[in-house]
Parts: sequence; C-alpha cells; structure tokens
Amino acid sequence: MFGVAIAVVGDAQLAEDIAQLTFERAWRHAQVYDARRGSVRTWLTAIAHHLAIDAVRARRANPVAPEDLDALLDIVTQTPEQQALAAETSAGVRTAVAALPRDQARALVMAGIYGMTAQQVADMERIPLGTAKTRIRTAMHKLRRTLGAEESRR
Amino acid sequence: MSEMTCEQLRELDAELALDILPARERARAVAHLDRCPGCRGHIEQLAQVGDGLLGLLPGTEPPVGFESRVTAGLQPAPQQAPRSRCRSPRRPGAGCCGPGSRSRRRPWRWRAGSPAGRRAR
Repeated sequence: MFGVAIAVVGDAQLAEDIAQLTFERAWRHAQVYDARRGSVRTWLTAIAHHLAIDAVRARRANPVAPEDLDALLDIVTQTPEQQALAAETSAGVRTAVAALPRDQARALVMAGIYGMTAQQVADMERIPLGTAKTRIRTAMHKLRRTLGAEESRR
Repeated sequence: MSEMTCEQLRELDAELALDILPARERARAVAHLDRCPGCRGHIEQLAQVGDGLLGLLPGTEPPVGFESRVTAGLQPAPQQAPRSRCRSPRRPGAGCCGPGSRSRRRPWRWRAGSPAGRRAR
C-alpha cells in the first residue's frame, strides 16, 4: 500500500499522508469491505491508489515524468530475485505485462498506475486518441486472458 | 443523457475498469452497469486485472514511526459516519478531498460507504 502511494506520488511525506488517510478511511468504512472482492490488502491498496491519484491530480498537470515512467515500467516487468517470493498470481501478471509490446505496456502503466485518461496518454505519446484507447484496451484484455487461464488451472 | 448499449460499454470497458473515463462518459457507463449484471461482471473482472497491476509495485517499507502515527490518528468509528469529511488530522486539506480533487472511482463497488461514492450520487 505504501509502495503504491510512493510510486504514484513520488514523495515520501505525501505517501505517508496518503497511507495514513487510507487507514482512516478503511477504518471508517470497514463495513463496506466486500470479501468477495479480494484480500484486505488489495482493498487497502485500491483505496491508497485512489487517494494517490487524486493527490497528484490536484498538484500537477502532468501525472508522470517520462523518466519516472520508464523506471516504473522496468520495475513492473523485471523479475528480480525478491519477486520470486511474491504470490503466484503476481508473477503471472508480471510475465504478462513483460510480454506486452512496449507501447501497450506504457499505455497500461500510464492508465492503470498513474490514472491517466486515454487523452492524457495520447498527448504524452503523441498518438491519436483512438490509438491510445486501443492500446489500453488491448493490454487489459491480454492480461485478463492470462489471469483467466491461471484461475482455471487452479 | 442517452442510454449506452452493451456494445458501446464494452468499447470503454478497460477505461471504465481503471476508472480513467471522463466524468460524462463514466456517468453513462455506470448507469448502464446499474441495470446490466452481465456488463457488471465483465467490468469486475477487468477491475481485478487493474488490482493485479498494482500488485506489481514493490512493497516499500513505511518510514519509522508510521504505525504509531496511524494508530494515534484512528478514532473509534462513530455510530454514523460523517457525511462529507475525509480529512487528515495531520495535514488538513492535503488534497485528497480538497478543492480540485475529483470524485471518481468505481462507485458500484464501494457505493454504500465511500465518500467518493456518496459525492458521486
């Protein structure tokens, strides 16, 4: 959860504020937690993600600097040894993201992690809006197929 | 506001699941989900893909003292949740709910309790 906040906002102090706010919000709305949706960890991560994106939107016109995007892309596609300990699902997603064409992976990270709209992706990549939408959608559907195949194997 | 068909919704499915649609399109899409269980299930699946993506970010250890600060910040849950506030005691107006923030995010998931969901309604 803290990792998500710092990846999106890029500032330790703000990330801590967001993490704290996440706990406060989760505490206040614990009755809304839906166990079918996944682990509490996933739930908290999603709350932190929302708060982080809102914080970035309130602060900057450009959600992410190009060099930060590249660094994050490396992080989510590389499989260093510490990641070997991560959950199997996570390893599957990582492999699937790494298998995407680079332009689709970029669009996916911009949209899915930084919360950029398709228009913002188009502007940053200097591509037509329709192309940005297609990249985001194609990437998401590829990942869904990968995850779906994993679930059916369990 | 015109009705959105299943076909139109599926064109926007990934953007909806990641909650990056512009407000107007999002409102139409959410209205469709309210009455279409099939599309709702489809979007839920894609939203889980989005959650999985967040799971790839490295877990970073919070700074020293974080836990005690969080514990100190938590109040016993009130009988009735406050209607409109979400405010960090440490830094009021830190941006999360302040002016300039937009209400967003998957209202069909956390509708009942989330301040964002309430504001969206």
